[in-house]
Amino acid sequence: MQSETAIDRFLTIVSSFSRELNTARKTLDVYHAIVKVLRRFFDIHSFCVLEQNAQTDWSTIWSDSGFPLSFEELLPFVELAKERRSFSFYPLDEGHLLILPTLKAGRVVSVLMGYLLNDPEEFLRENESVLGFIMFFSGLVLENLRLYQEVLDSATVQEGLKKYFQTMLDSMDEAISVWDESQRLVFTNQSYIRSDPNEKVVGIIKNLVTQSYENRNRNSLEKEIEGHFYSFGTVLLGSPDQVLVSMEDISNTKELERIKKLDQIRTEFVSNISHEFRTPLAAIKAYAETIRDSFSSLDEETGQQFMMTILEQSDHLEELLNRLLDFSKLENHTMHLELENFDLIEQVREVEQNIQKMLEMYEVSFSIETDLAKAVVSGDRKRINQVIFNFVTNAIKYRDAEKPERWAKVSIEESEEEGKVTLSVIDNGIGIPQECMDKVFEKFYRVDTSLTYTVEGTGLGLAVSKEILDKHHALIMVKSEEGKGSSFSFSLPKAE
Amino acid sequence: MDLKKSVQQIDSLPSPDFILKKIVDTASSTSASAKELNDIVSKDSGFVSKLLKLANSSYYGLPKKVSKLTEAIMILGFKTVRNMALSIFANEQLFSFKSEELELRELWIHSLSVATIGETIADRIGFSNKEELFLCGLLHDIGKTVQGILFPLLFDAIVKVSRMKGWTYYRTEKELGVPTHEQFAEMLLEKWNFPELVSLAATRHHRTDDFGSSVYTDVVLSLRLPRISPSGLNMATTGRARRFWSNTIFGKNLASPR
Repeated sequence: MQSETAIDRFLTIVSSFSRELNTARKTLDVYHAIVKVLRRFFDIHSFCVLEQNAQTDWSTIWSDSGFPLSFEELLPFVELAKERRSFSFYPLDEGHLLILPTLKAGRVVSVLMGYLLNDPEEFLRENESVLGFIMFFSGLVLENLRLYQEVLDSATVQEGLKKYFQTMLDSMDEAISVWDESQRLVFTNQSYIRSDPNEKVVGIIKNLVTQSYENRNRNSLEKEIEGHFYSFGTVLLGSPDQVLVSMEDISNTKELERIKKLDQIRTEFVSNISHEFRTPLAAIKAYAETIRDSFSSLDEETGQQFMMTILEQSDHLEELLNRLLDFSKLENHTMHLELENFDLIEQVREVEQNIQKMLEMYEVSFSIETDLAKAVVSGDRKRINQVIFNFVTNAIKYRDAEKPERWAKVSIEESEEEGKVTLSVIDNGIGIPQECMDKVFEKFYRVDTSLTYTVEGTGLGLAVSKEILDKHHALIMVKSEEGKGSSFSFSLPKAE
Repeated sequence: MDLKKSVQQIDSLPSPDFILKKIVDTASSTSASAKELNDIVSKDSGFVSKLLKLANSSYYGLPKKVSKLTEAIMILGFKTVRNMALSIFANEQLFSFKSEELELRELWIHSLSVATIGETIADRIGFSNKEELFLCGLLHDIGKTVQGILFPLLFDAIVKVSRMKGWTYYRTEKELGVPTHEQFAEMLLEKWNFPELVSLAATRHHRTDDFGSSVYTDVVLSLRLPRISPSGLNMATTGRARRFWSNTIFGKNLASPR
């Protein structure tokens, strides 16, 4: 019966010790638990705990005040514990020094020293079992706590690293998002959140993500969305299999490019036109001088010819000057209209006269279609003539050389809106790409850079035409299909 | 050979010294106090001096000499005192039995090797019952000693056959149909009333597949580890510990083979 009592006692101690250790989160908690258990057996004056740190040096991590031995005095006992790897009682002054190492796989993790005031003869054999248990069990718990701390530390380090990289990514202007295969958003940086991408943008990103998963490659795209230019780029991350999409608003860059180009074109335009002034001016000057120097000797026919040339060159000069004025008016928006009543059909016929050479050169046929005998409208005759001329010459210039028959026609008819006449210039030329529709009226705009080299022109025609029609409060209607042809129309009020 | 007859023969074996037996019993009892152990040990002056010698040995490296028996017991602990008492008894009464034919000294070295290797392994793998493993290792082959002392011819025959056939000692016993050393150990330890742990180690170390409900299962199982090759390990692994035990307790170097 006595041995059963000993086992009961042992089990009680073990269970309360386990309970104490269960809540232990720090090393010191474990030592507190040990001390609590030890106090059940021993009359303990004070405690001291030494632990081995990473550099294999020993240091005191806990020492009760009044503990009789100094750190240096304790070191030989640490050596003893390390050597024996078991607990000992050592006589010290009036009491005993309990040396209790905690063990993990034969390694001494720490040494707990207790100064006991018991009469040594009171020690029981069963206490040894308890001490042995504490020695091994707490070693295990301490080791686990150490590992737990290591995991926590590494988690902190990882957290710090993550923050560091997040900060870096957040400081970028590019909006970065990472997507998984089922198009779920996995990661975003601050720029992405700030950019607050709308459905359209997200749609484009998702398309790119799908594309990247399909072709397993980097993909890039530049897209204009609601007046902003965006540059998209994708990178496959590999592991995990996710796609990183970077998005940048390059509107400013684009705008700058456009302004630079505009400036360049303007400079070229001015220098070209200045140069063109010289040619007719030189001719006028030369003929005028000849007439002055040999006025008496000139026969009538030659004189007439010379005068004609001077007149022609003057007209040419005037036209150049008008173009220059148009340009500056366009720049300043200072165009003024001289309103009068005139017949649109007449104007078209006038234009037809002026484009004969061009029609021959480009091998384009021209026709006028109308059921009306006359279409008298109110407006600036010269300007409207200019508009018709621009539309028609464009229709000829942007012919489709691939087609066997090339034509351009002007149709004049009553508008659906009452009291108006609509003029349309229709061709079977190359057409205008859908996305360029709203650009063709910009100054110096050329749909395709390759066209710049194949089609002559200042790039001002349509811009000037739009300005003129705007002044007339007339809308320009453009219908075009790439490869099929275009139609430019405008309506003017009938003269009363 | 009749096992019954050999039981009577066992009576002729030296009984453990009364005081030693009492020391073992007291040191093994859970309810024993240091005072009780102290009272018993103090009756054997030879044992007292050995205890003091051990406590003051360089192995323990104590800063101050221990002169009181109580202090020595406190430093060494109950289990060490018990192991020491049993070691002394085994060495003095059993293994130093004079016999021309037998190589009991080698058997002693084997036992001591198993004991120290067992203790070392227990220490390394964090098995808290290392003193128990030492004790079991030391006495696990006590049956063979009994065979050797009581029936030297039988012992000699088993050794010779096992060497010739390349069988283990245990298998040779089985093949020859003689009472095994486990059976001898069982009878002896029953007679001496030794702790259950020791008797399990001595009587069941070849039949480790069934211990019933004994709580000492893992101790005896652990004993198999050092027995795998104690002769190969003993010099390298346990030389120091073995020399320590031999020199300190027995005053002579028993570790080096003849």
